[in-house]
Formats: sequence, C-alpha cells, structure tokens
Amino acid sequence: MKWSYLGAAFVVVYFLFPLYILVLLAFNSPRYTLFAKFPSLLPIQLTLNNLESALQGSSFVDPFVRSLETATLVGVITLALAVPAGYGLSRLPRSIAYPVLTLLLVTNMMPAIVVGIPIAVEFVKLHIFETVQGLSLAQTLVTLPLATFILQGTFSSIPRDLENQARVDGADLLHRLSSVLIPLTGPGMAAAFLISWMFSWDEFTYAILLLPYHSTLPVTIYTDVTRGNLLAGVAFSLVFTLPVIVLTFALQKYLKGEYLSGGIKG
Amino acid sequence: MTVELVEIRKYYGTKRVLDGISEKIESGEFFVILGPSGEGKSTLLKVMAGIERPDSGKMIVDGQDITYQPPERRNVAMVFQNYALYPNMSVRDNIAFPLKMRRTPKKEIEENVERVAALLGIGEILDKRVTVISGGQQQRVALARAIVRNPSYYLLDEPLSNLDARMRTVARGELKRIQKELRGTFIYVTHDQKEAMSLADRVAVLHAGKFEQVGKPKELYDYPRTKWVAEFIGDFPMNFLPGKVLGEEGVEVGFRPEWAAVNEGRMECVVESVEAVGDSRYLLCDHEGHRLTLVSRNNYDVGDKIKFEVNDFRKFKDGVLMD
Repeated sequence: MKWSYLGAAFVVVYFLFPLYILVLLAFNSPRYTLFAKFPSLLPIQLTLNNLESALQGSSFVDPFVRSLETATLVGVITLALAVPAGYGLSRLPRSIAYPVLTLLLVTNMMPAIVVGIPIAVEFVKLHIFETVQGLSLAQTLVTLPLATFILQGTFSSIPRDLENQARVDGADLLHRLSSVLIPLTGPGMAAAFLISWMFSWDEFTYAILLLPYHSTLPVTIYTDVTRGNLLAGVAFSLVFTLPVIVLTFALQKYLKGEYLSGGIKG
Repeated sequence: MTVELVEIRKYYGTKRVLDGISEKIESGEFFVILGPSGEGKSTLLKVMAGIERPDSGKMIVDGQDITYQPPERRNVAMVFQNYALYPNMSVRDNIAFPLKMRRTPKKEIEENVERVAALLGIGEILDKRVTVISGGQQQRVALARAIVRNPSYYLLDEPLSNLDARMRTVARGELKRIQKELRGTFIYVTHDQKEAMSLADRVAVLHAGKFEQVGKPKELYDYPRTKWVAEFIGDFPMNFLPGKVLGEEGVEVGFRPEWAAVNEGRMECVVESVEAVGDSRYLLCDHEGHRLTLVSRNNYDVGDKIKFEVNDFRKFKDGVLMD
C-alpha cells in the first residue's frame, strides 16, 4: 500500500516538474536561471520584472487575442456542425452510423502537415489565407470528428420515447431539437466545446502554415524561444496555460450528468 | 372520434409482429389492448400514434385515412410507460408543451393548464421541476399533458405499471372517471388482465400478432373464444378436463373456479396448496393428474381429499370454443 503512494508521488513529480521549471524561470531573476552556469532549482530572488517586460506591448497581446478568437471560433463552428451531425447519426441504424463514425475518425490519421499545404494553396485562392477564419476552418477538420462522436453518444443516450413524445405533442424536427433534445445535451456540448477549444488553443502545424506572419500564441512562443527571446517565451507559456484552467473549471458543472437522470425511468 | 384499423401488418425482418389487425373503435370508448409482454402491444400503439409505419393496412380516424401522417400532424395524445416527461422543464411547461407547439394563445394555455391541473390535483406542484416530484405525481403530469388539449384519440401505454399496487387502484378509478368526463376515445395497452377487466368498455386480446378475441370484459371471462384466452383471462386460469368426464371424446371441458361447487358431487381431488384472497380460499388441487383451481369459503389443508361438482362449463374443440 505504501509503495503505491510512492508510485503516485513519482508520477505527480514527473508531470509537474516541467511546470515547476517554467514557474521558476518566470519568477526567478534570470541571473540564477538562464544566465547561470549551474541553474538553481530553488527560488532565490523572486521578481515580477520578467513578466512585466515580456507582457508589455503588442508582441504578446495580439497573438493572445488571435489565439482566443481562433479557439472560440473553432469551438463554435464545431458545435454548429457536430450537433446536427451527431443527431443524424444517432438516429441512423448502427450498421450505417458506426462505419460513418469510423470513417470520420480516419481523417484524423492523416498528418496535418500533409493536409495543411494543399489547404494553404486553396486558401490563397479563396482569399482566406492569413486569416483567423481560415485557420479556424482548417482546425475544425480535426475537432469535428471528435465532437460528432461525442454528441452522437449524447443524443443516443436520450431515451427515444422522449422524442416520440415530443412528436406526438406536435413538435416538428426543429422544435424537437431546440426545445427538448439540445437542452438535454448540455454535458455533451460542454465536452465537445472544451475539446475543440483546447485542441485549437495549442494547435501548431495549421497555425504556422495558414497564419504564418501574424500568428497565434503557440507559434509566437516558438519564434521567441528559437530566436533567443527566451524570457518572453517563458512568460507567454505561463499565461498560455491560464485560459485552459479557467475554461475547464467554468464548464465543469456541465460535465456532470444530473440533467439526464430525472424524469425518465427505464 | 372513431378509430378504425384495417388489416394492419408490421414485420421486423422476418418476424411478424402485427399480422393483420382489424377493429373499429367507437367514439368515446375505453378500448383496452391486452396481451403478454413481447406480443407487439407497444408496436401497435406506435403504429396508431404514427411513430412507426405499418408495412400494410390502413388507419382511419373519423373517416380520414391517416396511415402515413406523422405523429406531429395527427391530432393524437399519448402517455408513455415511463411518462417521458421533459426533464429540462417544469411541471407547468411540460403540460403546456403540446399547446405551445400548436401556437395556442398564451392566456388560453394558462387557463387550460390550470384547469387540468385542478382536475388531477396537481395545482400545487406546477412550478416544480419534474425530476423532484414523486412517481404518482409524474404519472398525473403525463396524463395532464395528454388531456390538456382536445385530441381525436388518446393512446396510453401501460401508464400505471410504474406505480405501486395501492396507487395503481386509485389511479385506475381516476382514469376511468376522467375518460367518462372527457368522453374521449381511449386506447389503452396493458399486460395486466385485472386492469383491463376493470377499465375497459371492450377488451382486445392480442396474441401472435392478431386480436384473438374482442369483446366486453364479461364476455371474455364467460365465453373465451379460445383456450389461450381462457387461460390468460381471470385471476386464475380456466380449468380444463378431457371430455370423457361428460362421455364425449375429442373435446375439452373448461370451467372457472367459481363454476364448481366444493364438498358436493362425486368427483374427487387432492389439495396441493391453498391461496387466500379476501375471505375466499382458492384451492389448487390434483384430479387424476389434472391441475384444477377450485374456490371455497371453507379452509382446507394440503393433502385433504375433497369432493366437487362442476355446475357450469364450456366445451372446447381443438382449443376453440364450441357453440
């Protein structure tokens, strides 16, 4: 029993250590970290100067806003397409729906870099190259199959008789979806949105191919780190993790299934 | 409104679920479809609701062929076995839903919801969520939602089966009262023959995809058209003895427990078990290898040898009632 705690402790340290280094770099004076021959693993001289200087100016704010825009747009487009797709698939016989779902996931097996270049060419023609909208469309390519998969499961878990009841009560397809079915898919929609948002938030390949000049935060961090602006990269990375944490906590209450349980007995 | 079924057939693959169902249900009639589980009762109801399409046959309501009309365009109300209340809505919104979908004016919706809530005694819980109310209340809400508007016919799929035994008896009486009040055409599905007998104006016994017999409850009890109906209807199945007790070959003699008198006559049997129902004792006994159920006011012990006499009986040939 005691040994299992030791194992857990090891795993925790293993995963949190890089994060610790990141925090250390961000708040320790660079004299003891980046510029030291033997960097200290303990906080020695804490300072906010690193963050202050890095986060000032447009070199941070613009990519940050673009990342937010892209991720949110990806989440919205994904939901708008995955809700009808998931509903449709949940109402098809399994012998048809399952092969379709499998095929959807196959699109994700292709490396983004292979798909990205032809997309870039096409986007130049369509005049959406180097735009947030274009990048969002490309990233939706990856999130849509996952979200469709999740929502198909959510719609399938809603008892069929509930929809039948709505039909008997006189609701056409649009009313059934808007009044009865979609309000019950809250948890599934939250999960699908969260996954899409987080995927887009740290997506790199499409971002660098389709939005190369004024890019999103991951690409900016990459260029900062590779071009010697290490401290900025560190500061950005730290800020980069915050929205993910905030969003996860904000949507957490929808990730519980209490919505679906009541009122319907097997 | 009258509801007429003409040769309704429905197959699942090669399985015949409904195999030619025809019947005319009169306006204002309480029509019960009775049958054991898995005999296609719910399928038949779904066909009548328009949720499932029959493979052949017609459904005519008030002279109009509505066989291929989807449920949202039929004027039908339905109560599902699990009530199918919308869990994201309050009791009030659940009851109002069918009216909202038909673009009823707001004021009219309010009045109608209040009216049916009063009728069913759920005025107090209108603003609660449907997930926090009791099973009995949920059943009433489902019923309220069905009767809030004026449909051509009502479909009820075992609406009382999720209630406990005592609640069920109360709800049964209430249902009958409401049906009489509305003069609605109620089509009610159940596997519980007791429920069918106490509610129905007419009962249809569904067996092997067909209506084996349709008639008044008393008719079904006294003159079951087949042996199968005779055994399915009644708290205890009908007793059967070979025709040679009458000196006739090739027939079977069927009689209900109360059609025989205990402690009289010359036939004998041995008591195997005793079941008390009210102040009657139902005696399960053995007569020359045939299991019989007899009824008496007196108590007997297991192993007692008793005499009995059959006063009334029906004759069956090849499982079918003889005239």
